[in-house]
Amino acid sequence: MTVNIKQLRFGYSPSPEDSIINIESWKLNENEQVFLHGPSGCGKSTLLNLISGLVPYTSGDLSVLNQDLSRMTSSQRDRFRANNIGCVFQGLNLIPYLSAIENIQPASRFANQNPTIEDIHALLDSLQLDAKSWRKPSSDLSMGQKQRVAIARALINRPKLIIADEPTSSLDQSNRNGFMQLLMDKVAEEHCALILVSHDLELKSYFSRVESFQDINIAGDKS
Amino acid sequence: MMFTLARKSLANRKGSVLLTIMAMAVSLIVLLSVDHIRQQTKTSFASTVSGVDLIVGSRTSGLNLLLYSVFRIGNPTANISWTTYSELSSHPKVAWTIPISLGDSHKGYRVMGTTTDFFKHFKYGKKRPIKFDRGDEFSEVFDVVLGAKVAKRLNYSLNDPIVLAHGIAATSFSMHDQHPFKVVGILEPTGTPVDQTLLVSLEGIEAIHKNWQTDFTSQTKLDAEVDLTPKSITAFMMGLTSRMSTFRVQRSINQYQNEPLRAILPGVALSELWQIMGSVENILLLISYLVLLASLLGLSAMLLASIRERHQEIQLLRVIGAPAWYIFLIVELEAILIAIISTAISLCVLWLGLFSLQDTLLSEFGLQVSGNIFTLKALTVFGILLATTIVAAAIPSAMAYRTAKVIIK
Repeated sequence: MTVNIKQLRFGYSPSPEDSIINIESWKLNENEQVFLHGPSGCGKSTLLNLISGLVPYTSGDLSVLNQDLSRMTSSQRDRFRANNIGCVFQGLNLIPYLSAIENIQPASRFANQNPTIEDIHALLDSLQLDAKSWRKPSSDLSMGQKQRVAIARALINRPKLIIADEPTSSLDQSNRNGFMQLLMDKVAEEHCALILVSHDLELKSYFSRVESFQDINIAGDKS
Repeated sequence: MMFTLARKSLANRKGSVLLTIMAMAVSLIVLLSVDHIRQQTKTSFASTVSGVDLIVGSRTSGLNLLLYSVFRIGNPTANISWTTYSELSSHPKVAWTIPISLGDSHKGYRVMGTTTDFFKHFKYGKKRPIKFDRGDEFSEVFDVVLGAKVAKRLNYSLNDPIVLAHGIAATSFSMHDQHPFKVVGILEPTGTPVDQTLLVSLEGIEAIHKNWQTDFTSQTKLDAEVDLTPKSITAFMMGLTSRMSTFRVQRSINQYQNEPLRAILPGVALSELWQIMGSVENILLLISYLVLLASLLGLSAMLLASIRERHQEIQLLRVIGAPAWYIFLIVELEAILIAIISTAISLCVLWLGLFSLQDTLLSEFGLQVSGNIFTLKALTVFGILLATTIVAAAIPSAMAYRTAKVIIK
């Protein structure tokens, strides 16, 4: 089981009435790709933060890759996230003054994995990123090139789970389709699970499992 | 990797970072130069005279006597009669004396009338004797020996004629042009005011102040029939047969009945000088440290402002697995890199500045300032700078840490 949630409750204030997340039960199997859709502000990103261990939850059970995150210290969660979860965000979030390679390297260092430069080259090559752009500052890359670097960074540690938070929100239709095709191909190739959250319903065509976030989050219903 | 992130992050904000580096470098230059020149002045002053037990002059403050007799700064209040000098120098406890007669100059450099005992007994630094680069001591009335700096600056060589001026102004209208002197010796550099002094015999000084335009020529020997015994001198240095008798001899000179005199121990007078200078030094150092503090606050403000611009970068690092303390350390490392670059720049500028100003400091102020700025004191300053930089950067670093912890909301 990649993700297993039971009676998960979370809110930034201690009052149960102010819960943002209230999920009775939700599961994600190995190698499964799920699309969670819902309007902005409904708590999708918060759920991803809870799954990745960035935010500790207040009550219920949440296990990721059969590990109970509540039993981990903050630094153990950081290490667990670096080793097992690849992340792609809104706007792709590359550090603009670092090159493509330098954007990828920190992800592997935090996971205490030391891929050789050849491994990084091979990954960028497999994502069809032109070798001339590997050492350019990412601010000088085109949107298509940035997408490839963002995917490479998420995959460098061979994670078992990839979470993608509105990754296409700042892309035009052509770039969005290219990005999604590339992401889905790589996820299938690497045999990893994927949770992609977005308000863009057009993305559901890439997934066999599509869920409305408001259907699984009772707190969302209340609001 | 942390170094690469910090370095590239700084390079990405080069405008504000460069200004911060410049502010810190300037404050370090001020601090280090004040401290270096202060230390070097002390060393330079302390090594100007060595092995002299007492300096005797007319009654004035000990400091004034020391300044005009040794450092050629200021003017004497009165002269000592030759009779008194002769009497005191024949005191059984006195081993040697060096008479000093001041009042004339040559192109802004002081002329000192003395005897050949100066070359025999005067020591500087750690009892280093005076040595000749070229030529020899004066032996005739109108012979002159040049300090190293005078010869170099005025481009004089042996046998060149020199006309002395009455008074000590750089431009004088009262020249002793009836009696030109001949350069017979040039001294090796000493790093003391001797380098900027022209040394002539007491008889030479006496001769140019007599109205002998008609019957006295520059070729007159010291032992000529004409009596050139001076009537007075400015001061004299004294070496005793035993150090034990220093205070007794000093007391007897200070209580001398025939003429109001003052005898000082050079070391004690120097201590008085440092005491007077102490408060000025402390104020200068305080100002320097305040300037450094201002630049550190500037560094802190610059980093703090950058944290607000770097929310996305911090969030990204956190999501890919960076612990919050890692973000704290990146900001600290950035501050340390700025401090190191500022230090390197300040050292280069200071070294170049001292190197190019060495001659000016020596000629204008008589200060031998070493270009060696890599002293233990400088290392201490850098240690303090590094420690205070870490403290100053703690506020923006803590802010970055807090941002890393709560940014996910």
